[in-house]
Amino acid sequence: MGISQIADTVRIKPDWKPSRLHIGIDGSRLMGTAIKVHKSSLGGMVDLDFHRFLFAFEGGVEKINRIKTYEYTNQGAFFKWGIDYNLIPHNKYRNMVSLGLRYAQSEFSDELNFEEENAWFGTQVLQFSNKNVSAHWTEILLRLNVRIWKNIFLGSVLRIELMKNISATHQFIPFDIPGWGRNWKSGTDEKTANMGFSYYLIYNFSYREKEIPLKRLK
Amino acid sequence: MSFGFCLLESCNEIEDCTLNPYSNYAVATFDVLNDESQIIAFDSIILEGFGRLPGDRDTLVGMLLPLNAETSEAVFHYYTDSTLYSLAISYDSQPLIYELSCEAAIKFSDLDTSYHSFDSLVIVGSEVHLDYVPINFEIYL
Repeated sequence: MGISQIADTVRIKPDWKPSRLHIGIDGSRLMGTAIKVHKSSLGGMVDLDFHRFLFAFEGGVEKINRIKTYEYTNQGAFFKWGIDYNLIPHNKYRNMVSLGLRYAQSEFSDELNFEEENAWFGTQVLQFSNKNVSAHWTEILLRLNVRIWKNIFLGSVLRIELMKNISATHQFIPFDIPGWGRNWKSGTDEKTANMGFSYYLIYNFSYREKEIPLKRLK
Repeated sequence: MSFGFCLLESCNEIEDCTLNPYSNYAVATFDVLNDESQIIAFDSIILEGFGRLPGDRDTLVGMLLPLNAETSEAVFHYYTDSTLYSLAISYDSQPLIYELSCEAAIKFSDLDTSYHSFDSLVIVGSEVHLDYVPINFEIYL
């Protein structure tokens, strides 16, 4: 048995005890609120480490008011929870690249008001609304956290949203879903999948020193 | 440049409101059973809740059946000098925003007949969709 083979079998006992809490605010939602007149939104995230895993929770509120020849209003909240797996636990700056999975839920109400020009019945003022609609979906995430200064990290998240399911709506199919985005494709069909990108400003509350595991010898 | 813009803002799609396939009428064609050459003309056509439809004295091959988003049924009466035909159709209506920059539209679907007194009637398409369903009802006298 060679020396290199002995080194390969050295194992460090996993440390499952949490050591740090990340709390972040969604910068992309703040940016969206600042530059889009029809949208105001606030979102945040929390995660806690368990060995190479992180238990993560995200949430937020969103209000959309689209005024065109119609007026569409959508207001609600969303929650997402799941786990991330850190692909680079050896990084000495605690930077992180992770893959994650989320279960997401959105609760909202929306309303659509418009005038319909009907050649036979004249101009009709139509009002439709959905109350207490819920939507559920699953997300696959690729996260990148980079330390920018002391305990402050910049996090970016690329997400693929899948398997959406909306509860029975009362009067019409919602155009937007808080936390998901646009529910309609350009044209006439509902979106069955969606992609999203967001970035977070994260503060790292480290309440216990945790050894950075050494890289396994090749 | 455009990728960077997409990171800050959602990417915009090209929107063409003229492609909106939804309208507020169904389409019916008229024919005579076993005699395709016979001309069809009614003395008047009445839509309940509206009144007499224009063009009802013309020779009829096809006809638009107005649909009202505020109700779920439309009843038509077709008068000739000797006969009265009636047609009651039911439908579901659902509003939608076809494109962000277009006008909101009504999608009419589940077209069905609750009553008719024609010789026969075939539901060819149960959804109002100008692209995929040019005719909804084939009516035979």
